[in-house]
Amino acid sequence: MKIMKTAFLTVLSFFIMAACIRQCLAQPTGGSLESDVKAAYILNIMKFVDWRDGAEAGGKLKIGVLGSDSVGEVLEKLKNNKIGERILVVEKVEESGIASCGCHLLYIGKSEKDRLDDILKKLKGSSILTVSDLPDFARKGGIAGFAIENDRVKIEININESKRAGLKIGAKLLEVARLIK
Amino acid sequence: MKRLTSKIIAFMSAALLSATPLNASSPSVFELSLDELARVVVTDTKVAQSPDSVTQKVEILDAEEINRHTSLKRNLSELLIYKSGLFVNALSRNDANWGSFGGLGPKYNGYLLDGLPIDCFVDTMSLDPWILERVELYKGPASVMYSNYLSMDFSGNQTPLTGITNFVLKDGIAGPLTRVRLGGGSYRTEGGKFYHQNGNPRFNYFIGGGVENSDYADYGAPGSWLNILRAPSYVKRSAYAGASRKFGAGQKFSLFANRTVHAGDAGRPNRDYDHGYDVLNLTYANQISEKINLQLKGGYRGYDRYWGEDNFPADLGLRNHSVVKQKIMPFDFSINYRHKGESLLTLGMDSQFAAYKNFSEVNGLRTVDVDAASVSRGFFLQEKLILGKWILRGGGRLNRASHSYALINGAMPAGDSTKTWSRALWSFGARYNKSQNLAFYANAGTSFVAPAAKQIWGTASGQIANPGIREENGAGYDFGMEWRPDSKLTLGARALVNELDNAIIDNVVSRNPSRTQSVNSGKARSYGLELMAERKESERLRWFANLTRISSKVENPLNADHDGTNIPFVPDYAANAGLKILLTGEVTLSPYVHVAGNYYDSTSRSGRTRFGPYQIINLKIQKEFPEKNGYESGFFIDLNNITDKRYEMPWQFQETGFNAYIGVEARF
Repeated sequence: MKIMKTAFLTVLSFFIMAACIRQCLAQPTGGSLESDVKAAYILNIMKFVDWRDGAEAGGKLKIGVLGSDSVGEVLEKLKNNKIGERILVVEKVEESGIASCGCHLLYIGKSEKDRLDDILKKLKGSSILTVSDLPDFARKGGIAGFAIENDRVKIEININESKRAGLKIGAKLLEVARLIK
Repeated sequence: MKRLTSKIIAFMSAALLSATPLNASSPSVFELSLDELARVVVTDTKVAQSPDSVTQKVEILDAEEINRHTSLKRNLSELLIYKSGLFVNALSRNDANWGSFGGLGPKYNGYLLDGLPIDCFVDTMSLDPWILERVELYKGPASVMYSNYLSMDFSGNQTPLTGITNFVLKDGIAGPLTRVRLGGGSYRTEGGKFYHQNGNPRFNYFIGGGVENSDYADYGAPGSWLNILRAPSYVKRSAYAGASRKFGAGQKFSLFANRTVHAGDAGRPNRDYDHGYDVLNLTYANQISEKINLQLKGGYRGYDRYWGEDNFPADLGLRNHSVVKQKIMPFDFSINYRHKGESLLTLGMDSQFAAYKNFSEVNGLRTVDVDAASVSRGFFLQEKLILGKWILRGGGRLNRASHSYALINGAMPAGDSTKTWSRALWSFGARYNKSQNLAFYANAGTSFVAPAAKQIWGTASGQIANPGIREENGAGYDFGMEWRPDSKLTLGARALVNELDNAIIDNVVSRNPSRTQSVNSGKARSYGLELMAERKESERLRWFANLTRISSKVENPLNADHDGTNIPFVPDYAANAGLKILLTGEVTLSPYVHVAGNYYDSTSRSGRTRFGPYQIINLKIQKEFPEKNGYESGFFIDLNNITDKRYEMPWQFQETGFNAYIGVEARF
């Protein structure tokens, strides 16, 4: 019994001691937590989307960043990461070439707020997954946007727009997302 | 046992050591899965909050984990069996679950379905895992925000002294999904399940049901009162529906209804049974303003049990049928006021109405043995202050419960037929988030349990009366830490102390026939330590391990036979370890080990039986096929108790040994 108690106390002490000497770990991107969470969502979204051009076979997944905001900045720092077995390519793109940029996902920065309608028109018929942090993005014709609910980031998906783009969105993503029609 | 425990400690220590690469970078948020990113908890304050703001240790079981652990047999307790600090025995398919929480007996954890109490013994067997979005498992004293459950059956009133387990229903369903599962396996088990959901931002629903038929195995120990002569037949049917409708800016109305029937026999000619369980939940929620949230919940739980008793061992002729009808209606009204950022003031009231009848039926003629009713009311107030890295929680509850007895042993009771108890309860907690990766917490709280009618007056069979039994008072304390040394590893340690005055304890008095008596055992204390480790190496590999050590003691100076013994049904240690490996070809292997130490079925040193130790190894294999034309499919194989351990459980039940199930599932 004494041996047991000693063993447990030793393990407990080790836990506490190790905890005390451990330093806090820094955020790697330098972005705010909210921007990091939104960027993390975008990486996760890509795991649950099938592109009709068979992106899974291509070996690379490309994110285009149009305009600028804090989420776009975090995304740019995540290039060359792996999503599953695929390497992530992140590139800044210009509005004039968005439909032919070869992107699987286009992130539209908040700086493009006033040109949003034009941008979405240019993307009609393409199979690009559009994502933005602009308010009500999914309601305004985009595919995936963000909302804050109870101080938590919530993803919103416009299911009709995703179908129009020929994207197949996995059930798991639909389970955690708020559906916009 | 020492060798085994030492090995487990060594394993945990090795895990700890492997967790501290000094140059670890922490892209923690980018390593989180979709589920983890979306996670919130609701049980602590009754509205959505970050788990980091909860003073208790919280474990969340997500939809994937729920799916993995409850493939065919559908007992939600199988979800919890691998968690630290608790111990669950699924005695057989047609009997109630039994176990212990936090070093105390089976009734010290409050089970909730979306915030309204349910029964921890049978509702976990009747509800389908596919209805759940997640399970929130809170450890530690939390008796303020939730009331006792006024069950008169099984082990009596259930109280949240050692924690709360909240089964959270699906809501906010984003799109259409249909699931069909068919399977079969050992004991000629065959079954199927159906589930369909759909929804839009304003309205969503799900419906489903299941069937299971089996010629179950002999689950009685050799020579036991169960004396199973043939494969017991078992039939289970269930149907459920849930819906949620949003109105206006922040109003929502939700409902859920479930009906489960299971029938069969216990392997003898006149030991038939036919049980029906109903659950109904109604919720109205209104986010009145940015700061004020209002919720009104009401429910109904019906437990209708009917079973045959024969004259065994004299002969196998029918003696009578026993009937228990129990109806419980819980209500809860709460208001949250958000202030000073994320701090929350919660106040409200809850109430329960319970009716319990116990019949004997001979030749179709029913005689009422016990007719009792119970009412409880509670008023609660809790403040949770979030002050930077500190979270401070404190609250109180005024509880009033009364039992009235119209009939006892078939006759009107002499003297006062009503008993009333009033108690003030309190609970405090604190959490310090030193960083995103390290937190410390501590909690304390009190509880109160009135003896149930069954415990006072007994039943025609099974329960021996104890008219002198008194109420019990409890207090619980815990402190612990959570630590994420890097983005992949989570470690935890929790120490706990729980104590009861006049503890109501179930003692097995006779094994053949099976007879139990509830007694006040004096002071009962349990001391425990839990160690937990979980590592997510990648999307393809993750593992967990945990160890719980409990020391319990009953003090009864008036009875030397009971003084200094252990609290029944509490193993001195329990350990679990599991692994999930995703192989190429979308094949997932999930081996699990569950180890339990020694425990007893009574506080009587001379009359008790010792059980354990035992180890169980289970393996789950899942294969997913690529999506084709909008259809996803897969199959699973469950290999349970691979080493074919057949150990005895209380009331002369026995683990049935190795069993296997296979099934297919389609989703579209």
